[in-house]
Amino acid sequence: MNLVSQLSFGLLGVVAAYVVVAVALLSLNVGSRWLWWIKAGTIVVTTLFFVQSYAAVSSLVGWPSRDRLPPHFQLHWAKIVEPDEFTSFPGAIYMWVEQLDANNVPMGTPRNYRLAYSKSLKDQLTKAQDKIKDGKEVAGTAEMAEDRSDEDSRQAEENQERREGDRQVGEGANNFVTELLDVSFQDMPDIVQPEKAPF
Amino acid sequence: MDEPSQLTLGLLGVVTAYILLAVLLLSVNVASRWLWWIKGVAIVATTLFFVQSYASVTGLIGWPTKDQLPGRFEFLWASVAEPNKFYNIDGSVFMWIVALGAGDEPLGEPRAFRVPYTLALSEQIVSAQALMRQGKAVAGYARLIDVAASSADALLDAQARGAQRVNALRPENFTERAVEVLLEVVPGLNDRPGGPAPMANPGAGPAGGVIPPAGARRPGPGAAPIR
Repeated sequence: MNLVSQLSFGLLGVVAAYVVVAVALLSLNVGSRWLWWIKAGTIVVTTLFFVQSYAAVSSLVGWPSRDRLPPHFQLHWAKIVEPDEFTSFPGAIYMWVEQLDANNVPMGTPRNYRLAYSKSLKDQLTKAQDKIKDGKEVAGTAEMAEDRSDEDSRQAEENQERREGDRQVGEGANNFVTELLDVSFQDMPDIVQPEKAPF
Repeated sequence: MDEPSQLTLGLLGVVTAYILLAVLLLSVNVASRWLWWIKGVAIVATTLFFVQSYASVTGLIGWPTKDQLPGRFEFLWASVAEPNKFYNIDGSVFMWIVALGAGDEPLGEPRAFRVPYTLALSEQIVSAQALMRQGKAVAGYARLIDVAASSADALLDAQARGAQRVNALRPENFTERAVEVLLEVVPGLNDRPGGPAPMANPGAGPAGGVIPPAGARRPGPGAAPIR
Protein backbone atom coordinates (compact mmCIF):
# COMPACT_ATOMS: atom_id res chain seq x y z
CA MET A 1 0.00 0.00 0.00
CA ASN A 2 1.60 3.30 -1.01
CA LEU A 3 1.85 6.32 1.25
CA VAL A 4 -1.19 8.16 -0.05
CA SER A 5 -3.31 5.03 0.35
CA GLN A 6 -2.02 4.45 3.89
CA LEU A 7 -2.70 8.00 5.03
CA SER A 8 -6.02 8.14 3.23
CA PHE A 9 -7.01 4.81 4.74
CA GLY A 10 -6.16 6.09 8.18
CA LEU A 11 -8.07 9.32 7.76
CA LEU A 12 -11.04 7.68 6.07
CA GLY A 13 -11.15 5.12 8.84
CA VAL A 14 -11.34 7.80 11.51
CA VAL A 15 -13.97 9.77 9.58
CA ALA A 16 -16.03 6.63 8.94
CA ALA A 17 -15.98 5.78 12.63
CA TYR A 18 -17.16 9.26 13.54
CA VAL A 19 -19.95 9.14 10.96
CA VAL A 20 -21.17 5.75 12.17
CA VAL A 21 -21.15 6.83 15.80
CA ALA A 22 -22.90 10.10 14.97
CA VAL A 23 -25.60 8.32 12.98
CA ALA A 24 -26.10 5.74 15.72
CA LEU A 25 -26.34 8.43 18.38
CA LEU A 26 -28.73 10.59 16.42
CA SER A 27 -31.03 7.75 15.46
CA LEU A 28 -31.14 6.43 19.00
CA ASN A 29 -31.60 9.94 20.29
CA VAL A 30 -34.62 10.49 18.04
CA GLY A 31 -36.25 7.28 19.26
CA SER A 32 -35.49 7.74 22.94
CA ARG A 33 -37.78 8.97 25.74
CA TRP A 34 -35.30 11.48 27.19
CA LEU A 35 -36.46 15.06 27.64
CA TRP A 36 -35.71 17.31 24.64
CA TRP A 37 -33.08 19.35 26.44
CA ILE A 38 -31.20 16.20 27.40
CA LYS A 39 -31.23 15.09 23.79
CA ALA A 40 -30.01 18.51 22.62
CA GLY A 41 -27.28 18.48 25.27
CA THR A 42 -26.20 15.03 24.11
CA ILE A 43 -25.87 16.23 20.53
CA VAL A 44 -23.84 19.29 21.56
CA VAL A 45 -21.52 17.36 23.87
CA THR A 46 -20.96 14.67 21.26
CA THR A 47 -20.11 17.25 18.62
CA LEU A 48 -17.63 18.93 20.96
CA PHE A 49 -15.97 15.61 21.68
CA PHE A 50 -15.67 14.85 17.98
CA VAL A 51 -13.73 18.10 17.66
CA GLN A 52 -11.62 17.31 20.72
CA SER A 53 -10.96 13.81 19.45
CA TYR A 54 -9.82 15.16 16.08
CA ALA A 55 -7.43 17.57 17.81
CA ALA A 56 -6.11 14.72 19.95
CA VAL A 57 -5.54 12.54 16.90
CA SER A 58 -3.75 15.38 15.11
CA SER A 59 -1.37 15.76 18.03
CA LEU A 60 -0.35 12.11 17.66
CA VAL A 61 0.99 12.57 14.13
CA GLY A 62 4.76 12.82 13.77
CA TRP A 63 5.74 10.90 16.89
CA PRO A 64 7.54 7.57 16.49
CA SER A 65 5.41 4.61 15.54
CA ARG A 66 5.80 1.16 17.06
CA ASP A 67 4.46 -0.52 13.94
CA ARG A 68 6.56 -3.10 12.16
CA LEU A 69 9.24 -1.65 9.88
CA PRO A 70 8.48 -1.95 6.16
CA PRO A 71 10.11 -5.03 4.61
CA HIS A 72 12.38 -2.97 2.38
CA PHE A 73 13.36 0.62 3.16
CA GLN A 74 15.95 3.37 2.83
CA LEU A 75 17.49 4.40 6.13
CA HIS A 76 17.73 8.20 6.36
CA TRP A 77 19.03 8.44 9.90
CA ALA A 78 18.79 6.89 13.32
CA LYS A 79 18.97 8.05 16.90
CA ILE A 80 20.10 5.69 19.59
CA VAL A 81 19.24 6.34 23.22
CA GLU A 82 21.28 4.15 25.52
CA PRO A 83 19.64 2.33 28.44
CA ASP A 84 20.04 3.92 31.82
CA GLU A 85 19.92 1.52 34.74
CA PHE A 86 19.81 4.42 37.21
CA THR A 87 16.46 5.62 35.87
CA SER A 88 15.38 2.13 34.68
CA PHE A 89 15.09 3.44 31.15
CA PRO A 90 15.39 0.44 28.81
CA GLY A 91 16.85 2.41 25.94
CA ALA A 92 15.32 3.01 22.55
CA ILE A 93 16.29 3.10 18.91
CA TYR A 94 14.59 5.58 16.62
CA MET A 95 14.81 5.13 12.89
CA TRP A 96 13.69 7.46 10.14
CA VAL A 97 13.08 5.34 7.09
CA GLU A 98 11.39 5.58 3.72
CA GLN A 99 9.77 2.52 2.26
CA LEU A 100 11.13 1.26 -1.07
CA ASP A 101 8.88 -0.21 -3.69
CA ALA A 102 9.55 -3.34 -5.76
CA ASN A 103 11.82 -1.32 -8.09
CA ASN A 104 13.90 0.05 -5.16
CA VAL A 105 12.40 3.52 -5.59
CA PRO A 106 11.68 5.47 -2.37
CA MET A 107 7.96 5.92 -1.95
CA GLY A 108 8.04 9.60 -1.06
CA THR A 109 7.67 10.23 2.66
CA PRO A 110 9.91 9.05 5.49
CA ARG A 111 8.29 7.60 8.60
CA ASN A 112 9.46 7.75 12.19
CA TYR A 113 9.81 4.41 14.04
CA ARG A 114 10.74 3.37 17.53
CA LEU A 115 12.27 -0.03 18.21
CA ALA A 116 13.49 -1.62 21.40
CA TYR A 117 17.16 -1.12 22.12
CA SER A 118 19.53 -3.98 21.37
CA LYS A 119 23.30 -3.83 21.15
CA SER A 120 23.45 -5.72 17.88
CA LEU A 121 20.97 -3.36 16.21
CA LYS A 122 22.86 -0.42 17.64
CA ASP A 123 26.14 -1.72 16.20
CA GLN A 124 24.53 -2.27 12.80
CA LEU A 125 23.05 1.22 12.82
CA THR A 126 26.33 2.82 13.80
CA LYS A 127 28.00 1.24 10.77
CA ALA A 128 25.08 2.27 8.57
CA GLN A 129 25.30 5.86 9.80
CA ASP A 130 29.03 5.91 9.07
CA LYS A 131 28.17 4.99 5.48
CA ILE A 132 25.56 7.76 5.33
CA LYS A 133 28.14 10.23 6.65
CA ASP A 134 30.42 9.15 3.81
CA GLY A 135 27.68 10.17 1.40
CA LYS A 136 26.38 6.69 0.59
CA GLU A 137 22.73 5.69 0.63
CA VAL A 138 21.80 2.81 2.88
CA ALA A 139 18.91 0.43 2.48
CA GLY A 140 17.53 -2.00 5.01
CA THR A 141 15.37 -5.06 5.21
CA ALA A 142 13.13 -6.16 8.03
CA GLU A 143 11.70 -9.63 7.92
CA MET A 144 9.80 -11.73 10.38
CA ALA A 145 11.29 -14.98 11.61
CA GLU A 146 8.66 -17.20 9.94
CA ASP A 147 9.44 -15.69 6.50
CA ARG A 148 13.03 -16.86 6.52
CA SER A 149 14.58 -19.84 4.75
CA ASP A 150 16.20 -22.63 6.83
CA GLU A 151 19.67 -21.15 6.41
CA ASP A 152 18.45 -17.71 7.37
CA SER A 153 16.54 -19.18 10.33
CA ARG A 154 19.71 -20.81 11.62
CA GLN A 155 21.56 -17.52 11.30
CA ALA A 156 18.68 -15.73 12.99
CA GLU A 157 18.82 -18.17 15.90
CA GLU A 158 22.51 -17.41 16.30
CA ASN A 159 21.73 -13.70 16.17
CA GLN A 160 18.98 -14.24 18.72
CA GLU A 161 21.36 -16.00 21.10
CA ARG A 162 23.78 -13.13 20.70
CA ARG A 163 21.02 -10.62 21.40
CA GLU A 164 19.99 -12.55 24.50
CA GLY A 165 23.43 -11.82 25.85
CA ASP A 166 23.08 -8.18 24.84
CA ARG A 167 19.71 -7.77 26.50
CA GLN A 168 19.52 -4.62 28.56
CA VAL A 169 16.89 -3.62 31.14
CA GLY A 170 13.31 -3.65 29.99
CA GLU A 171 11.07 -6.41 28.75
CA GLY A 172 7.77 -6.05 27.00
CA ALA A 173 6.02 -5.93 23.72
CA ASN A 174 8.68 -3.92 21.93
CA ASN A 175 11.46 -6.35 22.82
CA PHE A 176 9.22 -9.16 21.63
CA VAL A 177 8.76 -7.42 18.27
CA THR A 178 12.50 -6.74 17.97
CA GLU A 179 13.35 -10.37 18.54
CA LEU A 180 10.90 -11.58 15.91
CA LEU A 181 12.00 -8.95 13.42
CA ASP A 182 15.37 -9.37 11.80
CA VAL A 183 16.74 -6.03 10.61
CA SER A 184 19.78 -5.75 8.40
CA PHE A 185 21.37 -2.98 6.36
CA GLN A 186 23.15 -2.90 3.03
CA ASP A 187 24.18 -0.47 0.35
CA MET A 188 21.26 1.01 -1.53
CA PRO A 189 20.48 -1.25 -4.49
CA ASP A 190 20.15 0.16 -7.98
CA ILE A 191 16.75 1.19 -9.21
CA VAL A 192 15.14 -1.50 -11.34
CA GLN A 193 14.37 0.06 -14.68
CA PRO A 194 11.20 -1.08 -16.44
CA GLU A 195 11.54 -3.02 -19.68
CA LYS A 196 11.37 -0.90 -22.80
CA ALA A 197 8.06 -1.25 -24.54
CA PRO A 198 8.35 -2.51 -28.12
CA PHE A 199 7.30 -0.03 -30.78
CA MET B 1 5.17 21.09 27.69
CA ASP B 2 7.37 18.00 27.92
CA GLU B 3 7.06 16.17 24.58
CA PRO B 4 6.25 12.66 25.90
CA SER B 5 3.37 14.18 27.93
CA GLN B 6 1.97 15.68 24.73
CA LEU B 7 1.81 12.23 23.18
CA THR B 8 0.25 10.80 26.32
CA LEU B 9 -2.31 13.60 26.41
CA GLY B 10 -3.16 12.95 22.79
CA LEU B 11 -3.81 9.28 23.51
CA LEU B 12 -5.79 10.11 26.63
CA GLY B 13 -7.88 12.56 24.63
CA VAL B 14 -8.79 9.91 22.09
CA VAL B 15 -9.60 7.35 24.78
CA THR B 16 -11.73 9.85 26.70
CA ALA B 17 -13.68 10.72 23.58
CA TYR B 18 -14.34 7.04 22.92
CA ILE B 19 -15.47 6.39 26.49
CA LEU B 20 -17.81 9.36 26.48
CA LEU B 21 -19.33 8.37 23.15
CA ALA B 22 -19.79 4.79 24.35
CA VAL B 23 -21.54 5.99 27.51
CA LEU B 24 -23.79 8.32 25.54
CA LEU B 25 -24.67 5.63 23.03
CA LEU B 26 -25.50 3.09 25.71
CA SER B 27 -27.60 5.50 27.77
CA VAL B 28 -29.56 6.68 24.75
CA ASN B 29 -29.89 3.10 23.55
CA VAL B 30 -31.38 2.02 26.84
CA ALA B 31 -34.03 4.72 26.73
CA SER B 32 -34.94 4.37 23.06
CA ARG B 33 -37.98 2.61 21.60
CA TRP B 34 -36.11 0.68 18.90
CA LEU B 35 -36.52 -3.08 18.78
CA TRP B 36 -34.02 -4.97 20.90
CA TRP B 37 -32.20 -6.48 17.93
CA ILE B 38 -31.68 -3.05 16.40
CA LYS B 39 -30.21 -1.85 19.70
CA GLY B 40 -27.95 -4.90 19.78
CA VAL B 41 -26.73 -4.34 16.22
CA ALA B 42 -26.06 -0.66 17.03
CA ILE B 43 -23.92 -1.65 20.00
CA VAL B 44 -21.98 -4.26 18.03
CA ALA B 45 -21.46 -2.01 15.00
CA THR B 46 -20.29 0.87 17.16
CA THR B 47 -17.87 -1.35 19.05
CA LEU B 48 -16.42 -2.65 15.80
CA PHE B 49 -15.98 0.88 14.51
CA PHE B 50 -14.19 1.91 17.71
CA VAL B 51 -11.72 -0.90 17.04
CA GLN B 52 -11.38 0.09 13.39
CA SER B 53 -10.93 3.73 14.36
CA TYR B 54 -8.15 2.80 16.80
CA ALA B 55 -6.39 0.83 14.05
CA SER B 56 -6.71 3.81 11.73
CA VAL B 57 -5.32 6.19 14.32
CA THR B 58 -2.27 4.01 14.95
CA GLY B 59 -1.70 3.97 11.21
CA LEU B 60 -1.34 7.75 11.28
CA ILE B 61 1.42 7.74 13.88
CA GLY B 62 4.97 8.13 12.60
CA TRP B 63 4.18 10.13 9.48
CA PRO B 64 5.36 13.75 9.37
CA THR B 65 3.09 16.36 10.87
CA LYS B 66 2.35 19.83 9.52
CA ASP B 67 2.29 21.30 13.02
CA GLN B 68 4.57 24.23 13.74
CA LEU B 69 8.15 23.40 14.54
CA PRO B 70 9.12 23.85 18.19
CA GLY B 71 10.92 27.09 18.91
CA ARG B 72 14.21 25.40 19.62
CA PHE B 73 15.19 21.97 18.39
CA GLU B 74 18.06 19.62 17.67
CA PHE B 75 18.28 18.88 13.96
CA LEU B 76 18.66 15.13 13.40
CA TRP B 77 18.19 14.84 9.64
CA ALA B 78 16.07 16.07 6.76
CA SER B 79 14.86 14.92 3.39
CA VAL B 80 14.03 17.40 0.67
CA ALA B 81 11.40 16.76 -2.00
CA GLU B 82 12.04 19.33 -4.71
CA PRO B 83 9.10 21.12 -6.34
CA ASN B 84 8.06 19.94 -9.77
CA LYS B 85 6.21 22.43 -11.94
CA PHE B 86 5.42 19.84 -14.58
CA TYR B 87 3.44 17.74 -12.13
CA ASN B 88 2.34 20.82 -10.12
CA ILE B 89 4.06 19.58 -6.96
CA ASP B 90 5.01 22.34 -4.51
CA GLY B 91 7.83 20.46 -2.87
CA SER B 92 8.32 19.67 0.81
CA VAL B 93 11.04 19.49 3.39
CA PHE B 94 10.74 16.61 5.84
CA MET B 95 12.62 17.32 9.05
CA TRP B 96 13.39 14.94 11.92
CA ILE B 97 14.05 16.85 15.08
CA VAL B 98 14.06 16.67 18.86
CA ALA B 99 12.63 19.61 20.77
CA LEU B 100 15.10 21.30 23.11
CA GLY B 101 14.46 23.05 26.37
CA ALA B 102 15.78 26.38 27.60
CA GLY B 103 19.18 24.88 28.37
CA ASP B 104 19.36 22.93 25.11
CA GLU B 105 18.42 19.73 26.88
CA PRO B 106 16.44 17.26 24.74
CA LEU B 107 12.77 17.14 25.63
CA GLY B 108 11.86 13.63 24.56
CA GLU B 109 11.39 11.61 21.42
CA PRO B 110 12.24 12.67 17.88
CA ARG B 111 9.30 13.94 15.87
CA ALA B 112 8.90 14.16 12.11
CA PHE B 113 7.71 17.42 10.55
CA ARG B 114 6.75 18.46 7.08
CA VAL B 115 7.36 22.07 6.15
CA PRO B 116 6.83 23.80 2.81
CA TYR B 117 9.84 23.80 0.50
CA THR B 118 11.89 26.96 0.14
CA LEU B 119 15.22 27.20 -1.61
CA ALA B 120 16.79 28.93 1.39
CA LEU B 121 15.75 26.18 3.80
CA SER B 122 16.92 23.41 1.49
CA GLU B 123 20.32 25.12 1.15
CA GLN B 124 20.58 25.39 4.93
CA ILE B 125 19.80 21.72 5.24
CA VAL B 126 22.45 20.72 2.73
CA SER B 127 25.02 22.72 4.72
CA ALA B 128 23.76 21.32 8.03
CA GLN B 129 24.01 17.74 6.80
CA ALA B 130 27.53 18.36 5.57
CA LEU B 131 28.46 19.60 9.04
CA MET B 132 26.79 16.60 10.68
CA ARG B 133 28.85 14.29 8.47
CA GLN B 134 31.88 15.92 10.08
CA GLY B 135 30.50 14.93 13.47
CA LYS B 136 29.12 18.34 14.47
CA ALA B 137 25.72 18.73 16.15
CA VAL B 138 23.22 21.10 14.64
CA ALA B 139 20.32 22.83 16.37
CA GLY B 140 17.73 25.20 15.03
CA TYR B 141 15.26 27.92 15.79
CA ALA B 142 11.83 28.32 14.34
CA ARG B 143 10.51 31.80 14.87
CA LEU B 144 7.21 33.39 14.06
CA ILE B 145 7.83 36.69 12.39
CA ASP B 146 5.51 39.40 11.23
CA VAL B 147 6.12 40.50 7.72
CA ALA B 148 4.62 43.68 6.43
CA ALA B 149 2.56 42.38 3.53
CA SER B 150 2.28 45.92 2.15
CA SER B 151 5.97 45.62 1.36
CA ALA B 152 6.45 43.03 -1.36
CA ASP B 153 10.22 43.31 -0.96
CA ALA B 154 10.00 42.54 2.77
CA LEU B 155 7.90 39.47 2.06
CA LEU B 156 10.28 38.23 -0.61
CA ASP B 157 13.20 38.89 1.72
CA ALA B 158 11.56 36.88 4.49
CA GLN B 159 10.85 34.04 2.10
CA ALA B 160 14.45 34.14 0.96
CA ARG B 161 15.48 33.60 4.59
CA GLY B 162 13.35 30.48 4.65
CA ALA B 163 10.17 31.93 6.10
CA GLN B 164 7.08 29.98 5.27
CA ARG B 165 3.66 31.53 5.23
CA VAL B 166 1.61 30.29 8.15
CA ASN B 167 -1.53 32.35 8.30
CA ALA B 168 -3.50 34.23 5.74
CA LEU B 169 -3.33 37.98 5.62
CA ARG B 170 -4.74 39.64 8.72
CA PRO B 171 -6.35 42.83 7.49
CA GLU B 172 -6.34 44.54 10.89
CA ASN B 173 -2.62 45.13 10.79
CA PHE B 174 -1.71 44.20 7.22
CA THR B 175 0.91 41.67 8.24
CA GLU B 176 1.48 38.03 7.54
CA ARG B 177 2.90 35.59 10.05
CA ALA B 178 5.59 33.30 8.83
CA VAL B 179 7.85 30.70 10.37
CA GLU B 180 11.53 31.30 9.85
CA VAL B 181 13.90 28.40 10.41
CA LEU B 182 17.54 29.03 11.30
CA LEU B 183 20.02 26.22 11.81
CA GLU B 184 23.27 26.55 13.74
CA VAL B 185 26.11 24.39 15.00
CA VAL B 186 26.00 23.67 18.73
CA PRO B 187 29.22 22.14 20.05
CA GLY B 188 28.65 19.32 22.50
CA LEU B 189 24.92 19.01 21.82
CA ASN B 190 25.14 15.38 20.72
CA ASP B 191 27.18 14.48 23.77
CA ARG B 192 24.22 15.11 26.01
CA PRO B 193 22.06 12.06 26.88
CA GLY B 194 18.66 11.97 25.28
CA GLY B 195 15.44 10.18 26.10
CA PRO B 196 13.31 10.74 29.16
CA ALA B 197 16.24 11.49 31.47
CA PRO B 198 17.68 14.73 30.08
CA MET B 199 20.68 16.39 31.67
CA ALA B 200 19.73 19.99 32.33
CA ASN B 201 22.35 22.60 31.63
CA PRO B 202 20.60 25.83 32.45
CA GLY B 203 23.59 28.06 32.01
CA ALA B 204 24.38 27.00 28.48
CA GLY B 205 23.13 28.83 25.50
CA PRO B 206 23.61 28.22 21.84
CA ALA B 207 27.12 28.61 20.57
CA GLY B 208 28.84 27.94 17.30
CA GLY B 209 28.00 29.35 13.94
CA VAL B 210 24.67 30.00 12.30
CA ILE B 211 24.26 28.27 8.96
CA PRO B 212 22.96 31.02 6.73
CA PRO B 213 20.90 30.40 3.65
CA ALA B 214 22.23 32.08 0.54
CA GLY B 215 21.51 35.81 0.63
CA ALA B 216 19.99 35.64 4.12
CA ARG B 217 19.88 38.40 6.67
CA ARG B 218 19.24 38.17 10.38
CA PRO B 219 15.59 38.49 11.36
CA GLY B 220 14.39 42.00 12.02
CA PRO B 221 13.23 43.50 15.29
CA GLY B 222 9.80 41.94 14.88
CA ALA B 223 11.07 38.38 15.46
CA ALA B 224 9.69 36.55 18.47
CA PRO B 225 10.32 33.02 19.73
CA ILE B 226 7.51 30.49 19.53
CA ARG B 227 6.19 29.61 23.02
